[in-house]
Amino acid sequence: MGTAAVDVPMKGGFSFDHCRRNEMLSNKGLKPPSFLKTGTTIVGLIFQDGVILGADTRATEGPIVADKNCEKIHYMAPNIYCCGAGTAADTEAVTDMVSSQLQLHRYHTSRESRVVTALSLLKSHLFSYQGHVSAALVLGGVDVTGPHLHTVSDLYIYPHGSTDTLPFATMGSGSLAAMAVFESKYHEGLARDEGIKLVTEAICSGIFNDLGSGSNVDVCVITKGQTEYLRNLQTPNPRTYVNERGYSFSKKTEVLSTKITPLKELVEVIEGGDAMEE
Amino acid sequence: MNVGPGRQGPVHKTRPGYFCFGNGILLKLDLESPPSQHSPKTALRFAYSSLSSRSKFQQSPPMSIFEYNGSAVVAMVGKNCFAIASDRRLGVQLQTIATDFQKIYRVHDKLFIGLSGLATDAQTLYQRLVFRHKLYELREERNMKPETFASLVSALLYEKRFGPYFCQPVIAGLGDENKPFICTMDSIGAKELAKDFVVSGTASESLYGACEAMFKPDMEPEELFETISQALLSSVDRDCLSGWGGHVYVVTPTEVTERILKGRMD
Amino acid sequence: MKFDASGLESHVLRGGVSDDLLSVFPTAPSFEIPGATDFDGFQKEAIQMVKPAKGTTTLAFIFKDGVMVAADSRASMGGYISSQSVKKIIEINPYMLGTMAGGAADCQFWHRNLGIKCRLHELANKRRISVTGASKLLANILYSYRGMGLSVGTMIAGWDETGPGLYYVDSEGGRLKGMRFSVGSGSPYAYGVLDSGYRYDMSVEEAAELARRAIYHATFRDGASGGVASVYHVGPNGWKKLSGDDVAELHYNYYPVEATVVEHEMAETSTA
Repeated sequence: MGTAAVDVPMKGGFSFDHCRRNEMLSNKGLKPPSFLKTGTTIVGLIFQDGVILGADTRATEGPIVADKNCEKIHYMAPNIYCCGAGTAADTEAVTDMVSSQLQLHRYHTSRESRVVTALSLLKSHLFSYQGHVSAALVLGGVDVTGPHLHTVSDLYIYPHGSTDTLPFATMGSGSLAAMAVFESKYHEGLARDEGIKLVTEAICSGIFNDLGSGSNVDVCVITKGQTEYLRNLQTPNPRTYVNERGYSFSKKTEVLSTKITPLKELVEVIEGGDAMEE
Repeated sequence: MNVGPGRQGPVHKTRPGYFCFGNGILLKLDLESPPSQHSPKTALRFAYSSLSSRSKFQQSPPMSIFEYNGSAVVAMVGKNCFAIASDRRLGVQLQTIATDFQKIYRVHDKLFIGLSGLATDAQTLYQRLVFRHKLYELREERNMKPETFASLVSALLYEKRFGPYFCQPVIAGLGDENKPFICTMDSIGAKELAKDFVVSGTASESLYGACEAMFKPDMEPEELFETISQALLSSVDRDCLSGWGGHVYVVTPTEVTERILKGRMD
Repeated sequence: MKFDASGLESHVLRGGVSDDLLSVFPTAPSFEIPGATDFDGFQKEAIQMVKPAKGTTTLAFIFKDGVMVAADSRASMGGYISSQSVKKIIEINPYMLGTMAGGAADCQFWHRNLGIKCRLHELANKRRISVTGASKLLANILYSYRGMGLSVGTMIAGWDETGPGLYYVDSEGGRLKGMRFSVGSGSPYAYGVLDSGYRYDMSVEEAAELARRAIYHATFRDGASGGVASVYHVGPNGWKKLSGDDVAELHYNYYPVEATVVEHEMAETSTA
């Protein structure tokens, strides 16, 4: 009984069980692992009637491109989305956690979530972990008070979890390339098409000029009462080297033993009529 | 749970100089001698005077903890089917301990998980996953969907964000309407979903190359088996720490085919 | 800053050979020395960066018909196998072999250098150099570079006027005479087979098989050894390569897979 209670955590939160052991291992000279990162270009801007977010789709692990088409624009609420850069697990986990908190909050209040609520939840989480949860986020959404765009970051400024409110923002390793585009072309009151075009251009600038970013362009357009997630809006890097004839093997694999297990038909719902229910 | 430097936590110390991991793997530590004693010079002098096995002519680059046991795991999607394959070696650094080691575990008939990385953590993690999956089955009276299982694995890994399990899982299964699902994660549970193939382990870099070249969409089970086997065997032949045969599961909606591959035993 | 190695040159060279002949060769090898305060540390670090660390199994033993020398053929960098076809037995001259363990470049360069010195010795003295002498030449060079980052673990095996000779020489300056040696990361495994199967009065075939088996078992257990097990024999008439077998084939020769490709149909209460 006791063990079961221990294994299934009653409440959430991190477990530090292995820290002591892992520290011992790294003191013995064994390299600690590297994590999946999104060395990224993520951007956002405010246009005429809402917010546009954009992201590239490359995930890296050291020098290896681990995922060529990942999703970096995370759902927070129907009217709020969030781009994430940094350690992939952290951006994923922190946005998921806040997203569920927002949902519960909506159930409780029966009102649309506000962007500032999401912002406060994110920043208080990041601040409480003092930079150990490494996520740099671009948070955008439209709520009852209008369109909002924020950045949440723990990467640059000391009190980790610092936030900023901006008309246009970039984050990640490609942020300089993207910001160059924004700085030269952004102006107030952009039309929807212009906005999407500018975001795409900024992301492409990151894709082509930053080694940590690459592959495709994802865009999310949030307006009053409507959200459009344009997954892979542009695919400027299609694979060019596919062998038409496929790949043939000179020597067939040699098999030492084979075991075939037929699977039972799983859908055998034995319902003896609903009268039997107790 | 306390990791503060001031408090003496429950270190699993069995006898002086040995540490015991959760699964009974003992690690000998030279606790008495200060770290400087392990400098190359000491080792070299020792090697010369005794012509010992720990000679300096064996390589000793800084080794990642992922490379301690060595592994290669790969999964591929075919037409209404998937294949998951691993090598069969269990080693301690360069020393091969076993050549019939299981790295792919069956969760249920249509869901498999391959765990690469530190073997002790892989086994512990697997046991926790089985436990959680059984609880789910009892409560829900159905098998877990691969997507759900992936989230479970991710949650278990992320729980240990600041003291991770040193393993990289590969999950492969048939979901609703027998749609194949594959995914991999890093050691702290960042999910990476893929439509074609996923790889992990010490041979992952060679596997990426082999799979990129050999994979094509919508393969039938037989061709899928041949492709994943060739990719696995040619990759592990370029890796010191994995190989010694292969283990392949091909899963279709009607049957599971498990094959042991003949490979180079060096 | 230059390191002057002129003092290291063997004096045997000078005797009897005219200066004209010597002038063909550069006077004394000298290397640029880095201007670092921690010279040893710098060397070791620099060498780790460029040197493919090579896990190896090499062995050699003396028996009644001469010396048997064998080695695997794998070169690795960390966990990556960079080659499966490295020649780890270096032919110094028709009567002498050297084995390679440690840094590939260090071994190759100094064995070639040793070859030159042995030939010059032959020209100067009108007789072949003894294995004892050759191994000492190498040991002296290696000792002079001691602590500067060279990584060599070699066996010099050959046949001279006194019969078969076998020496172990390493970059720490050690030089040992012996009846059987094994060097490299796979050496413990090779020693296991070698020590249990060794007899002095073996035939050449038996000795070759023992050497091959020892290499095979080492490649099986050691992750950094593998590829081809090559076996050389040094007899009164010089060395001869006896075999070069892919250890992947050796494995299935030694341990044939019993009952291959049997299809087990597990009828598990199927198809209701």
